[in-house]
Amino acid sequence: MAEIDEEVIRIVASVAKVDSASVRLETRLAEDLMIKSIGRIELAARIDAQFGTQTSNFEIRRPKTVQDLVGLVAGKL
Amino acid sequence: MDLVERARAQGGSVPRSIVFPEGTDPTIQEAAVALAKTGRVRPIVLDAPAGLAGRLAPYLPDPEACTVADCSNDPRCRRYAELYAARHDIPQEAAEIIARRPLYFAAMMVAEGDAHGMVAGILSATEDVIVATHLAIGREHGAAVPCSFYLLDIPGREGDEGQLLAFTDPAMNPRPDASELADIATAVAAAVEAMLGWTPRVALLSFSTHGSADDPAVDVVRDACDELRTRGVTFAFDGEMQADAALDERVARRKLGDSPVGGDANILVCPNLDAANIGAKLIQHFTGATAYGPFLLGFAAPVSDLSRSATLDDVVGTALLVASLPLSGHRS
Repeated sequence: MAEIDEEVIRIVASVAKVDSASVRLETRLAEDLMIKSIGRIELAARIDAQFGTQTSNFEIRRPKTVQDLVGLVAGKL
Repeated sequence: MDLVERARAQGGSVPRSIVFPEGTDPTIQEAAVALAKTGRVRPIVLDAPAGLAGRLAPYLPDPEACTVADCSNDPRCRRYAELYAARHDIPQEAAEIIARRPLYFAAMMVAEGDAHGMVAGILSATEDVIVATHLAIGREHGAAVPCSFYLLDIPGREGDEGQLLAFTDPAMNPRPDASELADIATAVAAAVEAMLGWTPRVALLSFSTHGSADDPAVDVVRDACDELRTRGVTFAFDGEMQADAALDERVARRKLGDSPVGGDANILVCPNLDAANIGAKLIQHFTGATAYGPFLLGFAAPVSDLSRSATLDDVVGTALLVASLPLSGHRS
């Protein structure tokens, strides 16, 4: 799970164009990082590319925090 | 003249390619055949179930009249991904995943001139269609706020444009301010003029008519009318007014007096997305109206976001009208 955490944080930081060190599991995607509908398309694609998952537009809209996103990914592996 | 004839008359003699990314839907499959027969639209159907091309072939006027494409194996996918990756500064690997998604592949086809327009939304949420359009096609250069409108074909309506009425904005702007409301009115007036040759008569709707009520919500509509006057737009408009004053001449005479559009409006501008979306659905429900669109405006190419309840007639008419919309030609 720790590896998933690290990879998801790296991807989230890259999409939000911030330093990975500033992103924590409790960080909120929309409010703290401004990853809204458009950013989430890239987020889903990069997660799918990294983990070999298939994440729909509907699924990627739901996570509020990085922790939620980790949970989404973990549930698909 | 029905809508098919009207759209044919508006367009040139060469059929325009319209891409449908939701080929798994039976209504889209039926619409593709019906559109191919009009000679006005050359449908491109994506994400189709195996064997669809063979099943459609006996119903087509010629084999080229409709294309069934597999975007997961299409050679254009790599090029679209490269363009998308460069445009959005994301890794190629992620861009390829995006470009293989039918909605994005379709939008990239339109962006790269491989199709004239896209008709989507029968299986996708409005937000997904709008985001794909925004990311792959982009905004029209110099366009104001993006917006949308329905063209409603209402049984029993006897307006100057027959049964048709334009209704905005049912899909894109939840709470437009006065300037945005003026932008929406202007964009829709220009679109229906280009699409159908109408002379626009725009009513900006409210629960108040010319000062009959005071409320911040009324002020927004009133300010939008002031904004249109300041801009010196050339189309006829009036507001704020109630829907009955916009559509019923007897009520218009009583409530508005002398008005350039009262009782005879052909474009209704609702004050917010709630009113437009609810109003359009109520008209459809109670009158059996056909709803063409919503057509998305403010993007660099014609796109329509169908309702998920769209019927065969809705899809066919919408595609014909998308085909008749001009390309803006410039992306910002």
